[in-house]
Amino acid sequence: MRNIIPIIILSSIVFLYSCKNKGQENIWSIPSDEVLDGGPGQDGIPSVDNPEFSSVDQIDFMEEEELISGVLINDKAKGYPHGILNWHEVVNDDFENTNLAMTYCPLTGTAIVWDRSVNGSVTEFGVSGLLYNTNLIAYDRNTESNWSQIQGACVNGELIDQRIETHPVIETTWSTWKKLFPDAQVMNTNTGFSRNYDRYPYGDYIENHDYIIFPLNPEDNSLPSKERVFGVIGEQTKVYPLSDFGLGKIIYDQNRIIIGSQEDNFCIAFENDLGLNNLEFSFSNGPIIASSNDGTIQLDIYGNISGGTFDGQRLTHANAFTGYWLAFGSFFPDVEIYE
Amino acid sequence: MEIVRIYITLIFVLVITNINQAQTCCTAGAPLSNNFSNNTTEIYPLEISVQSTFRSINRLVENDEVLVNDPRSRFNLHNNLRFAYRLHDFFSLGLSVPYIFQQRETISMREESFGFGDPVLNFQFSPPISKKIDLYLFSGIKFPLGSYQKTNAIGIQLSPDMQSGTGTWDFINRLAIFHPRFLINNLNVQYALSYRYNSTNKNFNNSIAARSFQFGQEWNTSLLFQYELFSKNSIWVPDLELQYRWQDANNEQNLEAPNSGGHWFNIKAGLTAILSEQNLLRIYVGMPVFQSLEGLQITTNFESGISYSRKIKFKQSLSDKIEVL
Repeated sequence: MRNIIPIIILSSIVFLYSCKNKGQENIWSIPSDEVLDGGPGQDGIPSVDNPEFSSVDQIDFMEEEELISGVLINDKAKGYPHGILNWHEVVNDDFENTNLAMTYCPLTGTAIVWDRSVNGSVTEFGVSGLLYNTNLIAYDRNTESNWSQIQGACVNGELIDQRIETHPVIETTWSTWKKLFPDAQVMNTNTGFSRNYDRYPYGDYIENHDYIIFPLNPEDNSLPSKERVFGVIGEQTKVYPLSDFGLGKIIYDQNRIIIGSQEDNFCIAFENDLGLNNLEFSFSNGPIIASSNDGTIQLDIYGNISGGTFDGQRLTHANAFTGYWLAFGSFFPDVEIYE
Repeated sequence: MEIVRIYITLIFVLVITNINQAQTCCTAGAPLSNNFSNNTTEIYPLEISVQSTFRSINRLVENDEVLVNDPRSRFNLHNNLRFAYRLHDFFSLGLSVPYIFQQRETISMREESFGFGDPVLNFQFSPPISKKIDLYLFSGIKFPLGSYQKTNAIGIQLSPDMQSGTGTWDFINRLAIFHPRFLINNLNVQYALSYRYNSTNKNFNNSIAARSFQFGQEWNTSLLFQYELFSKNSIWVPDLELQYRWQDANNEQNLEAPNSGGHWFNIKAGLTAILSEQNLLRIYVGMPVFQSLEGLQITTNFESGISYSRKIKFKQSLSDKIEVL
């Protein structure tokens, strides 16, 4: 009998500990009944962990109007074609001594660059196969924690509630990319996987505004669901429909400068800490995206100012990315639409 | 002897078509609408059978091209307990109760689900139309009693195709034409056509953000050849089945889901041991010959099954009656 008591106590401790761990695994910072299993399972959509790159003039698989997202670090850019991202959603990469992950959700049309240094160690991200508000949930391979792409935060696992550091991202068409970043490296199709990168894997999803594969909560129909908008994230998140930018436009709003072009299919935002709204800038087509009317002051896509009072100074990129309206409408219920 | 042979053959054919196979990964534990039949006779009005089908779902296909480097693999094991009861010379009732085990494995995670699937209650009508040909008309209803709320290790509801049940009332209809002694004495042929109507689960995830899901409607047609080999104490019947199946795309939120639906052409080879009037054992293996799927799908690359069937008599058998006479 005496021998049994320690065994019972030990078993109880083990049982309680296992229950405790089980509980932690099931804790989510978002409503878990709105997290959906998309079907392929964790890593069923394989991330690319050893991407290969080519120079712009070596890329021959992209059409002029195809979209590409790029990361901007240290006045350099690196591109990741959506045709590849559609099939992999996460690319673990290194660029300018930065460990980064280009994350892309084909269902929300959002490309966001994450820093892979988390909690003091470098991790890789993979595709969890789960979705929240029809948006990618990635997981980090060090701790198996799950991270919401648009929230930019860990929503389940050991690192719950921790936020991820992001890097500036730009999305545009291949034709514009070539003008903006003629010297940039672009990811090629040597991914290690046999996939048809010419084919969009979700049918008419992009064109059909009524087609939302997984439910949203809330669902905001203020704009057509797949309208591409540029969202600037902050205390008051605001979106700017790309269609409002026409041939090129500069908007001073909420102490930010938003520069974009529907024609060139891109948008970028800077924090306006230097008070540039007193200057008369106009949109410029090329690596220099804005210049003063007399041409003496120029702003490039990395935020560098040349000429004038602020010569040599730099604007920082705002936390912003492009995506379908449906994503902003559901993730940011108080979102404003610029008019 | 000839009567006995025909009788045993008929039993065999009904048994051979009686395996309720698990679907491919795209339709959860719902049984295929092919391969249903009640198998009862005047002498043995009750039949009980156990069946098990293993399906390896480990081929990544885009349209008709097989891709390499797929990080996923799956299998499912569909076990079925089936009862059939004869109501009348031409009518019978059947009940299938499935128990399903599924596993989805990737390079980093293994997820499993198991449980009772949706039972199917069916009614079969076999009108006497010809001395040479038998006709079977089958109609079944699938009750939404299996669980569709199984979760993974982190508490997230698994996708519809990983669930044991669908949460929907579905309907299965089937027609089979059996031609014994086709051209030669030992050769029998059967043609079957079936259709399954799947309804919509309007709140798959029981959440405010309700997820509506419907598996695609399914058609299935097959041609079965069997050849009887008589030995001293038993009958061995090898068979070959050609199966063509096509399924509409699934519906998510009432719209066609991408990367679902398509056409499958499979070949299956089996062997039945007719151990006695009452006991039959069958095994089979199958594999796809051709698949033309919508978009990118992981699909079946191999399947196999085993079934055992036992018939039970309640009252005087035919032979007893003859003796009395």
